[in-house]
Amino acid sequence: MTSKPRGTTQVSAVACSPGTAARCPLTVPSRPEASERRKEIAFAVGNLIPATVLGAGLVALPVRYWPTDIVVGGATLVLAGASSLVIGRPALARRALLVGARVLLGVGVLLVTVALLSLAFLAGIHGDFGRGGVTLMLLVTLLVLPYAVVYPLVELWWLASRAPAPVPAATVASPSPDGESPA
Amino acid sequence: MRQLGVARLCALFALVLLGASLGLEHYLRVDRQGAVKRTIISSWVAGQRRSRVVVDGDAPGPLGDEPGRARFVGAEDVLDEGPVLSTHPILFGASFVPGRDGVEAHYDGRVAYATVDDLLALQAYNHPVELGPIRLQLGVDPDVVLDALARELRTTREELVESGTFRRLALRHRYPPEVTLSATEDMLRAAAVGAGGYLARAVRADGMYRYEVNGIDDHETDDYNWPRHCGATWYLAETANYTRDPVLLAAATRAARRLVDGAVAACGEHRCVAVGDRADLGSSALGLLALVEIVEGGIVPELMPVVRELAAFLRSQQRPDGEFKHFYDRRTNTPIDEQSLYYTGEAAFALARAERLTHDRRDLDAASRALAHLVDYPFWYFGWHYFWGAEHWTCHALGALWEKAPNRKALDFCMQWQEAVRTTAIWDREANPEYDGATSAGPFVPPALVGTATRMEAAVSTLIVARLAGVPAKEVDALEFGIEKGLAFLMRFQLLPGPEQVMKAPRFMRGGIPNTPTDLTVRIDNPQHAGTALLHYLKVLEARRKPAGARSGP
Repeated sequence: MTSKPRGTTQVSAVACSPGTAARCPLTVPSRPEASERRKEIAFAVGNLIPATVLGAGLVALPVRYWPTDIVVGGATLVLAGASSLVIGRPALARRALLVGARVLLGVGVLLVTVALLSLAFLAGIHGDFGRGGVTLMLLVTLLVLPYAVVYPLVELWWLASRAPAPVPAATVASPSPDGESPA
Repeated sequence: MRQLGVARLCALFALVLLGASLGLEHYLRVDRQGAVKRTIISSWVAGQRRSRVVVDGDAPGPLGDEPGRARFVGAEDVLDEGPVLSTHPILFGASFVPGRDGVEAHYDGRVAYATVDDLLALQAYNHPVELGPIRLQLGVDPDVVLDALARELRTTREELVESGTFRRLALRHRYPPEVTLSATEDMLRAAAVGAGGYLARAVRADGMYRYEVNGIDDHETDDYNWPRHCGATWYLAETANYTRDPVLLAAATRAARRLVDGAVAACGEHRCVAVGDRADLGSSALGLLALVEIVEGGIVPELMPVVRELAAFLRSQQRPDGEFKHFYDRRTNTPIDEQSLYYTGEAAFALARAERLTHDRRDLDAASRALAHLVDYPFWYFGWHYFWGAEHWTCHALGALWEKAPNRKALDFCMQWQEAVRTTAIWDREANPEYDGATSAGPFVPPALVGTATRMEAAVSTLIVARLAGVPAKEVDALEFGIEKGLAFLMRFQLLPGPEQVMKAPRFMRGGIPNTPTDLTVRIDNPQHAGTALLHYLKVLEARRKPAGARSGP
């Protein structure tokens, strides 16, 4: 028995020649490379940070307003749940990351939209509101954009570049006698 | 391909959002420099509007009519108008610039206006919308405005909201005219003496002040605060000494007598200012400051023993590191080593001023050690460069001590604070260019006058020391520029006379410094702080005209 090197996993590869490609399973039954898995975990942890900020912000809000509670509370739960899945169920990692990134992007886009329209409204009413106002608004925008828009976009970009998602071998049954994977 | 799709979607969304934002801003914008479209002329008696006419363009209308006794005429030019998006309380409330915008309402073929004067009289610019514990300061209070317009249009508020239409009016006062003031000696003198005059009128026969008076309805709060009694008496005495006006001198005497007879009590072996079992350092410090001014000016020289006693009490509260124990339990005769905002700076300043009369080295040493403690931040704490407390007393202490116990570190501290004050002040706010130099309370709300005043009085003390210390001219000029702009803002909104047409008792309020340009409530420390800044800068300008060698500053 030979010990496998650290950082690698046992691969139960199914060889598919060009001639039999149509009969091969849609997903290559190989485990993700360690670096890919590390990135998944990194994104999962990354999603937990905005989830924590959103959750803490929701708790800190002194007034309960149901649209805010539903949107922010829902987003927090989804992000936390998705991150848990990524860490606990590698088979669902990519799908969970996709859901998390979309939800975070949705919240981010909503925040930026509301902030920009509010800013436009106030600028229309007050005209230029001076150095202080511009600095404040710029600060808020710069704080929201990287975490709630740029980050989920990067995450979606990364996911899109790796489709279709690999499925670990452990979750894939052995080929059927006729050579086809079960659906 | 999927990446390209995401990128395209993002770009499209960004474009749509940008277009919507620019469109919304353009749709709502008004031109405040435009020609006069029409003029709303109103007559007022005792703060109540009695009649109104609207004339096209800038025709004078009944403006030329002789004003009757206690009758005021106000004319407001409509420069432009804009839409009001919604009557939802938050959107409606945020749709108007406080002090600049009015409302036009149409209902059933009738029209009604709520002009700036109306909204001031209704105090509609000051009421925040309350969402649970959140108090959101918007442009106007929607409830007050809609109720007033509904009354004027002889309908119910619900009906008006349902069937009425609203427009925003960009207004400018033609009469009384909007003035732009600058910090000249004449204007500073009028403003400083006016602030003292207000305080003199506010001192009742029993020596207590009308503590806080609403300039609109002359309503007085039941509250009272002895540190502020002392602070106001300090400034009143300083103005009285400057003018030697018998009315001011008499008022200062009444307030000082009341302080000594009604609030100076035993604190163990010393005497302090206290009205209960727990004495606070601030009352005694400001009481000492007031009495020093009273005795130094010869108003009531026989109060000198109280000066010595209060100075001794302050010294007895000082810790070895220069900090003070801010409270004293009179039942157990025990100092309480707790600290509050302001008190250490007040005590340092008061002891420094007292030493001029007592010639007691211990007062000077105590003040000097307190000032050193106030500006002694550890080298690794960078935060003090950015998070400033209300340091006006620190900089007053710097000024009072400079001749005999100069503290360069304190000067650097005050210079840096003033740089932060200037940088974070309001500049170039399009709807309110008259706010330039004021200390901001937020980008969309009117600035508080007292916040600006405290910073300006500290700035003047810093200016005096900076010149004596040979600080580079560029820095001194920047400091003085900030002072000139800040004081111009204070004078612009001082009730001298202010919008007297909407005030119930404008004669009493004359010279008062209101909370904000749209909240005409005057608390006694408002004229104290603003008056101190105005009078001290006036003395600086006067000293410049005097021959070399003359002592500058207060």
